[in-house]
Amino acid sequence: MSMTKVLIIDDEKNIRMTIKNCLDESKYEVEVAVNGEDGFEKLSQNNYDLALMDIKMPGISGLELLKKIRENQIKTDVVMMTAYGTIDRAVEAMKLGAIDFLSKPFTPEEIRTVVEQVTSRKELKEDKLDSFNDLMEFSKYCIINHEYDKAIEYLKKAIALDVDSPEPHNLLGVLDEMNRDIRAAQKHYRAALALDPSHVAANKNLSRTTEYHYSMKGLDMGLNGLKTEGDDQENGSK
Amino acid sequence: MVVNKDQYIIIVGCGRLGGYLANELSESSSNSVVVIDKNADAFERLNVSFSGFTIEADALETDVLINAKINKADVVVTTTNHDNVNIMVAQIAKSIFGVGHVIARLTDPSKEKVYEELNIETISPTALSAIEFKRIIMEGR
Repeated sequence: MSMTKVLIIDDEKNIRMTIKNCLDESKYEVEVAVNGEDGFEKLSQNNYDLALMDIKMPGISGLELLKKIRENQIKTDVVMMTAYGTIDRAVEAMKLGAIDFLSKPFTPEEIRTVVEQVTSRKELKEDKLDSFNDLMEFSKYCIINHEYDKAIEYLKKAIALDVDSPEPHNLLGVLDEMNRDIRAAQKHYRAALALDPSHVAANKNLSRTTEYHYSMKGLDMGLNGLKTEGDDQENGSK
Repeated sequence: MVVNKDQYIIIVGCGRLGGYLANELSESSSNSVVVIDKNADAFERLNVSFSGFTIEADALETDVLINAKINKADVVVTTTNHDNVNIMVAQIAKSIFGVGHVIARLTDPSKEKVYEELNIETISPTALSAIEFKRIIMEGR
């Protein structure tokens, strides 16, 4: 089996080292880039299965880099790394085909899980989606490929398979918000909360959408521990 | 000795002890180490080879601990100069977040009883030094 090629793009050496140390050398070929410019150069010259990029970097930021690589038809899967578990531009990243987030600080297990999830997602076959997780992962795959209607279809199938899980409801709400249908989104967030009143992402999304001054800033997809809050917390983790 | 791999370790306080410990722990292959300190300058004690995360914040605030993902921590070590801070954070880690392994630095060995009652493991550099001094003195007799 060929090795999975992973590129880590972060201006902080300690983060690059943490991720590199956590990925099994026998399964992953890991390269690093020290900033957005370096990352773009490496992504343009080589084929990677996955790029983990920091959303906040001096020079070209993670989002700008994501935009740039998509404009250059580079279709490498991207995991955005965010400081302190916060991101206020989830929708923008999602539209650019990045749905996976890793919030700092991360545990060795979180790193391995997200890398495995993203790399195995490509192997999913539409006619062989047996489990709830398969359906959820395939829905994310559809979102990345801008097939939102299909994503909704498979999220509904995921609900049919596990009626007690709040995650697909929350993600359906996010898709409705992207479609600017706030009322429908709120219905989904409420459904998620009816199943699990402590669901953090749905709770935050519902309170945000019911605020007098509605804003998509802080949208929480509830994936990979992603929590979205304001800018004020973005500066804490280094 | 059995060495646990892949641990998620939170160190509260990046003084001489916390910084040294963070450097040592991050050297072990795939540990993920998070250091929390109120003072950004304290992180200068970390080596250039330190691989881990730093959070500039007050660990007495529960939100800070939540953002540090304390619920996923295998180990929490409190190493500040203040016994009361150490005991409080250790208690939060143990009682609220159910961290399996909590170790606290104890400056004043007379407070050991309090930690014992809370079932928190302690290390007292003062007591350890005194024991070692005594050993050297007795051996040199």
